[in-house]
Order: sequence, then structure tokens, then C-alpha cells
Amino acid sequence: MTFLPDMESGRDSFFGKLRRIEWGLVFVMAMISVVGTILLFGAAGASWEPWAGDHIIRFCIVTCLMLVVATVDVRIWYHLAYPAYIGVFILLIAVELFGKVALGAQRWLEVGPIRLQPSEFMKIALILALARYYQDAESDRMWTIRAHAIPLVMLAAPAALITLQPDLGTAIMVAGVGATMVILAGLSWWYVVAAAGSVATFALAAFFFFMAEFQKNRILTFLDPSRDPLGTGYHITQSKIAIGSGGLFGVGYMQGTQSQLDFLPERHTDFVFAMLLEEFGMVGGLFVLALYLAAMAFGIYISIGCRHRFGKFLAAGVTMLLFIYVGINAGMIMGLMPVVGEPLPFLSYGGSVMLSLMFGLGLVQNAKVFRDKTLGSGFKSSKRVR
Amino acid sequence: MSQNGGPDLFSRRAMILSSLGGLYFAVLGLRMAQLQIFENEEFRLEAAENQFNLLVNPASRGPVYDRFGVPLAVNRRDFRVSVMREDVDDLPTTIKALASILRLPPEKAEESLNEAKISPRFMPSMVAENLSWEEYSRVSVYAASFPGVRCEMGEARNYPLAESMAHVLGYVAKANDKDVAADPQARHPGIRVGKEGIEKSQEKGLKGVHGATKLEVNAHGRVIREVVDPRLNPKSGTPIVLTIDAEIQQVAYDQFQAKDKRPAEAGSAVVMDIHTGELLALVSAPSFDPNKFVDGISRTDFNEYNNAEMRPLYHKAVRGIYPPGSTYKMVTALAALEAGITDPEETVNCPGFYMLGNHRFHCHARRGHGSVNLHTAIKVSCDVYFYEMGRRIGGDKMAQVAREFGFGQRFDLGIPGIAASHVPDNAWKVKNRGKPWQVYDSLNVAIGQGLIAATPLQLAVMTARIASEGKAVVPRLIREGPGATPFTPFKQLPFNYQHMHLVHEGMIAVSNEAGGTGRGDLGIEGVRMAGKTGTAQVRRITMAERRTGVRSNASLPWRQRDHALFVCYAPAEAPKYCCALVVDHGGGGGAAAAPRAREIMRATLLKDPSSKPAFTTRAKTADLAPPADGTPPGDGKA
Repeated sequence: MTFLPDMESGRDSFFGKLRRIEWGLVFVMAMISVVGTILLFGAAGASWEPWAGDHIIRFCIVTCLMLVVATVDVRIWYHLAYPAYIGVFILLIAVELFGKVALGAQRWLEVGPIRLQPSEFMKIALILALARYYQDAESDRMWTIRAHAIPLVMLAAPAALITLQPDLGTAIMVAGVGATMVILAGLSWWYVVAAAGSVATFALAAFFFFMAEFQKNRILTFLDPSRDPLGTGYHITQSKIAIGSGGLFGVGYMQGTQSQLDFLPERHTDFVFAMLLEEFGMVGGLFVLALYLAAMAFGIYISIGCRHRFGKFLAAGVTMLLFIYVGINAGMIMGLMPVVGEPLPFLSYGGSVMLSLMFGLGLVQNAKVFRDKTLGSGFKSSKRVR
Repeated sequence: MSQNGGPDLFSRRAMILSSLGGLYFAVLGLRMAQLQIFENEEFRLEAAENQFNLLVNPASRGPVYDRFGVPLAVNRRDFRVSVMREDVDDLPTTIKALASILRLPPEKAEESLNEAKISPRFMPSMVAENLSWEEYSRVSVYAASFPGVRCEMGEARNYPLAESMAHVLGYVAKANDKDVAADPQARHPGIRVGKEGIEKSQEKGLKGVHGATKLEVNAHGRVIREVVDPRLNPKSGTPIVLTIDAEIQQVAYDQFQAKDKRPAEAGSAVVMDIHTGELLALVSAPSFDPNKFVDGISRTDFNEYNNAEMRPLYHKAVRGIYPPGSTYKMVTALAALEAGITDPEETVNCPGFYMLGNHRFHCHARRGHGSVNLHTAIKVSCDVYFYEMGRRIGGDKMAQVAREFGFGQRFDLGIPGIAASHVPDNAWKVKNRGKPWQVYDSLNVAIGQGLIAATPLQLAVMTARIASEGKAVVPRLIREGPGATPFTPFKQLPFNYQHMHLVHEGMIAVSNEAGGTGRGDLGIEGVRMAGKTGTAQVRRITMAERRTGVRSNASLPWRQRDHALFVCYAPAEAPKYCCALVVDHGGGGGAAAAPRAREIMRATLLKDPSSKPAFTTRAKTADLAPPADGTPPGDGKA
């Protein structure tokens, strides 16, 4: 065990913590945000208004927030995990009861001037809660389903509520992140395979019995975009044209006809990556994908390197969340996945995703900063870390 | 958990999941390569399709002039209003508003609406055409408040002479499904397609090359900019100069119009320069107004044309097939002389009929012409004389001569539907009637009846070949532009010069000597005409009718009356022009056809178009050529 001088003394200076922050990860996220700013600047026709300026300022703000999250003592996060989860869960129920309907879905709660989207917070809250659970519940029977009964309920309940909103994309993300953590905790692969099979069966059943018309359409159109080229399939058709016309090196910054002439829908949010692929080509696309891969590699490296399970699971969960975001968005714009309306973090314009993910990345950094902290004795759980 | 010395369970599983994630990223990369590298070409095309809208920019249709530059088919400015369904918010409301602004009748508005409903989304559909400047500006003011309404200035085809040139020029009309299948651009409401006459046959040259306006549009259809591409400029159609003289054409056409107490007649007239074959007039009557077709003819108007007994839509001069009647007797006379079965002085006695076996063949003169030689036979048009000659020559020999005179030949004038008709001989009869040639066939054909049939154009060619002393004159209609055929000197037909002269003498006698069937004065000092009348029977006269007296034409229904024909050339001594004229069911050739032909011939001779310099469109380019000394204009300072 590495003993850092100030940790031995039990007092840890703020600058010491800052030094232990994984600055490489910060740099990668900054790179992605700068690329995003450049794209948004172009999307607005060489203007900081209305997106690019906001985007870079928001990034600076959430980076500061991230530094705070990273340096707050891990024990505080450990104690906040369950209350945060329960709080967000109550908000989710509130959305179901009093939420605002927008775009055919109940997603927002309005509290005075503030608009809350609890499903967004749930992603982080669930990671925190599961991380705490597995920190506490270490045993040599982790392969059994019984050891994961509570986490499965913890992930299924919010996922179900979010599905009801209906916001399938977020529900899948919440369930996916939770499931990843369950797998990491040691559930037998047999259960995993069986669960995957039953999820597939359930998905088919859901498609035919529970899904709203627009969700069905999204999936049908994903399977065959030409089904309705000017209606539901329009987005994906135009996106593929934009990407395909980009070629290896792209048509040039702000030269993308698909993006600049509005053929590409939502070019500042969900389809920003398509604009990138049109204007900067495959070279640009691979560069950005490499940045995301680098960010995830940092996440995994931090996760594995953390000494306490709370931090390991936090880092792994947030990394998984980032992966799901990128995977869904990039797959969607290239026609590999149905249109589920998830943005590409730090590249797409939009504050709440940036905020929640940066909060998550703050927790990842926290696992790095406090990697050698011993969680266990002196806390509620008396189980010993082997 | 690392009892085995390897990595703990968490790390193992993290690595496995990371590998799966990496795999998915590899899939993303491959998909990128598929779309951006392998399918790049297709998507670039699709992006360009998105980016640009090509609006057809119609080329200016080539004008048609007469030989002196009189415009026959031209383009006039046309203000019109159309709607593009793609951009219109509410089609019925928009059309209703336009109709009230333009004060369109409700049925016209409804027609426009129905048309617009079925037109392609990105193709403008016409609401109103031929607007006055005042109406046009009124619509233009309001157009801004109705998306998808387009006010434009285009060109519309116009035929200044209307009826008299209708059959030669034909007309243009909106493209039908077949035209659109052949050329999708033809769907554009500003484009018309040639449907008849010169307009149809020379469509390719006249229409030019349609251009396009390349518009960069955004996803909402708003035009961002117009892309200037000189390659997309329309290229105007090539002008055509006809051999027709519009003035003579009009004179010829007027001959069939009602005048004083004379009723309007159906018929056709062909006037030709015998040295060049140039057609100076090519008239069919009655006629139609081609301008009515340009914007779409109404059903009532069309039915009126289509159902009329005198068939105004039919180009009789080149399509109508008539028994040539006595106008054919020159061919019989020449055939007789060439075959050597008679000499000019031989006389045949005409008692008014000719006996073949126990069958009686009648002469038009019931009491007979007495003793007639060749000259008299042509002058008085004695049937008996030619019955005898026909019997002696035989069908095949007559057919051979007839072919030399252009019968049975399709002359390509560059307009559609020119008939070839046929020259009857034994082989033809066997093939078409299943019976061999009989002597009575020879008798009938010898006087231009029976199996022989010809178009007025062929009669004009025959006359020209006779008048030119046996040159194989070929008619021409287009002097310049698409479809024009270069003039090649005519070859000489294998006929004896003196035989030809004997026929000339006979034809001069017809018009000038006492007893000539087509006698009449041209009214030009010192100029004589040579001609031949023809009265072609279209019904069989029964023996019973012969006994009680042949019914007069006036007492017969129009369709059963005789055709009146006249062919002529002038001046008689030095032939220059010829004319063939048919009055459908007009009665006697001498009374109905000859005076009309004479009028036409007089106008032709007085104007003498062949001696005047003809119009050419090439002159314009010659004017623009740099001066001969090579100094560029405006280079004075240097």
C-alpha cells in the first residue's frame, strides 16, 4: 500500500488532492468539448450564438463542479449514496404524478423556474447506490442471484418508472448501467445469458403490447428507413446521406450541405456527430471516437486501480454510462440503432447531460483521488476488504 | 479474490466488458468506412440531389418564316401564373384566391385545381396563361402572400396566319403521357410539343435544348442561391425558312372561302416553282386555327373540327387521295406517243361512247366529239380517244410512265403523313384485288378513273415534270433549318422532247382555244397559261340513270358529287410555275377548279417570288462578322 505523507497524517490538503486528479482524463474531455464548440460554432453559421459560446462556458463551469466532486471526501459520497437514490426515486414518482408532458412524454418537473428531469439524475444516483451496496455486500457467494436481488430491484424499479414516462432510451441506459455493475460484482454468466434472453423476449412483447406508436415507429423505421423517407425515416436517411457524403476527409468545415441547409435534423444536438462526419470525414470521426475511447480507458484504469469497491464500482458505472451514451448515439446516426434521441456527451449542445456526466466523471476522479482510502472499518459495514 | 494469483474477479470482468465495448467501437468504425468510403459515391449524389433543385428553363422554340421572312410560327411573350404543389399550403384555397384575383370562370378554376392535384410535387402546374400586363402585375402583388404561387414570363407559340398555314405548320400543344415518357422535361408547363406538320416533324431542331436553373435549396425548400452554370443555359431552337410564299398561300386559301354568292368549299391547292421544286403554296381547306391547340383546345371546339364533314383537320394536299380524272390524260397521251401506238395526226371517232365487248364506256360529251386527234382530245378532254389509247397501251406500260411522273411516290417534305398512293398495274391488281388486269381497267385508268389515285401534291409534281419538259422535279418545302434538303439539279426523264411539246400544245389549247375545257384569260398582258381540267367521278352511274339522264351534281348529296380538278402551268411559252387544285365534290373541273387555279396563278405570276431574293436567317450572323480590314471595332485609341 502506498502511503502518501499527508494521508498518513489523516489530513489531506486540497492541492494534494488536485495533484492526484487524473488530468489526462480532464484533457480528453476538454478536447471533446472544444471539438463540440467548433462544430456548434459552424452549425450556427460561424456564430458563437446560440450554441458554441454556451457550450464552452458550460464546460468550464461543469469542470469546476467536477473538481469539487472529485475532491469531496469519498466517505461523504458513500453516505449520500442511498439518500440521493431515494430522493431521485421519489422525484421520478412525482414526475409520473405531476410531470409536464413534452413531446409526448412526461419527463420534467417544474419547481418554480427550475425544470428538473429526474431520470437524468437517476443515472448517477443508481451508480452511487449500487456502488455503495457492493462496497458493503462483499461475500464469496457473489455468483448467486440472491446476492444481487436488492441491486436488481434497485435498477429495475426506476427503469420501469422511466419506461412509463415513456422514455425508453433513458430507461435502457439506467438498466444497462445497473446491469453492468451487477455483472462486475460477480453474478454468474449463466444468469447473465438467461437474463439477456428474457429481456429480448420481453422487448418483443413490449413492442407489440406496451409501446407508444412513436416508439414502435422508431423501431420499424430503424429496421427499414426507406419505409417512410419523409416521415419517421427522414432523420436517419438524411443522417446517412450526410455521413456518406463526407468521405474519408470530409467536405470541409462549414461546407456540409446536409448540415448547413437543414437537411440534417437536430444538427446541434443528437445529430452533431453526423455533421462532424460530413464535414471532417472518417478521419474526424475516428479522431473523436478515439477521444471517447481514451476517456473510457482512463475510467477503466481508475476503476481497476482503486483500492475500495465503492470507487471501483463508481468509476466502472460512470464509464459504462459514457459508453452507452456514445454507443447509442453513434450507432443511431449511422443507422445501426433505432433513433432514441440520446445526445453525444460533450459534443452535443445540451446542459443537463453534460452536467450529469461531468458529475459522474467527478466521481471517477474521486475514485482516483481517494484510491487508497480504506472504506469499511469505522463505517456502517464491518466487512473486511480482503 | 486473487487466490489464483491472477487478477481479481472485478478486474477480469471489467476487461471482458471493455473488450466487448472495444468490439462495438470496431463495428462503429467499420460502419463508418462502409458509409463514407464504400458508399461515398452514392451518398454524395444523394446529397447533391438534396442540395439542388433543377428547374427546367425552356428553350425558345425556333421560329418558322416564309421565303421572304414573313413570320409563320413565332413566340410571343406570355405572362402566366402557376402553382408548385410542394410549396403550397392549401391548394384549393390558393387556387380559389387566384381565380378571384384573375376573375377566372369557376369551371376554369376547377380545371386548374384538378390539374394541380395530379401534377408532380416539384413541377409547376399552370393556373392561368396569356394574362394581360395588368392582370399579371395584380397577381404578382398578391403572390407573395401565397407560398408556391409563381408568376413568370414565358413564351407562347403563335401562328399569325392562323388557318391558311395550319396544315403545313401543324401546331404545338401540351405534352401528353407519351411525350413525357419520351422527354420528361416536356412536362414543364412552359413547354409545348409539336403535334402536327412542321412542328411535329422538325420538333427536334425547333425545340432547341432546354436549359435549367440550378437552385440551391435548404430542407424547407427555400432557395438559398441560384447557381450560375453556363452549361445549363437553354439553347434556342433553330429557325426554319419555308419555300412557301405567305401571300400566295393566302390567295390560294382564300379561293376556298365563301365569297359573294359562292359557298365555301373543301379542297386543296399546290403551287410550285417548276425549276426548283419549291412549293410556294400548299393549302388545304377548310382549315383550323392552330392557335386554339397551343393552350389546350376545348372539347367543343375539337369536336367541331373533328366531326365536320369537310374535315378541316385533314391535310388534303398531301394526304388526300383522289382519282385524278382527266388531269391524268397527259400521262396517257405521253404513254401512247412513247409507246408508238399512235401518231399525233391519227384521229379517233367519238360518238359519245366506246364499246368494249358489249359494254358501253361513256364520254362526258353525250353526243360525242366526232373525229378527234391528240391535240383536240386533250383540249376537249375526249374520253373515247383516251379509252382507245388506253386499250392499245395496256396497264403496265401506262403505269411505267405514271411512275416517271411521280405517281405512287412519297415525297418527303419534312412534314408528317404524306401519302404515297399507288400506281395500278397488273401486279398491283393481283396483289390488292386478287384479280388480273382487264382491258376495262386500262380504259378507266386512261381517263384517270378506276384504280388510279393520286394526291394533289403528286398532280402538281406531274404538272411540273410536264412543264419542265421532262425534268424529274422533286418538291421541297423547307429552304433552311432542320429538315431542309439541299437542292440537287433534277435529272432528265426518258421522254421524247417533241412528244412533250405535243402535250404542251394540247394544254395551251385547253386554256386558250375555243372549245378548251378550261378556257379563261389570266388577265396579264402577253402571258398565257396551259392547263388541264379534270372531273373525277366518285360514284358509279347506273345504266338506268344514263337512260333517264345523269343527275346533276347540285341534286346529289355533297359526298357523292364529282371532284373538280385543274392542273396548270404558266407562262405557257417559258414555264415557271405550276399549280394543281382540287375542289372536293366541287363538280366540273372547268367550272369549279379552273377559275380558282387561274386566280392563284395570276397572283403567283404577278408577284414572281422566284425572281426575288429569299430571306435567310444566316444573314444576321454575317452582319456581326468583323470588318474586312481586321480592325476590331472601338479600337480607335490605339
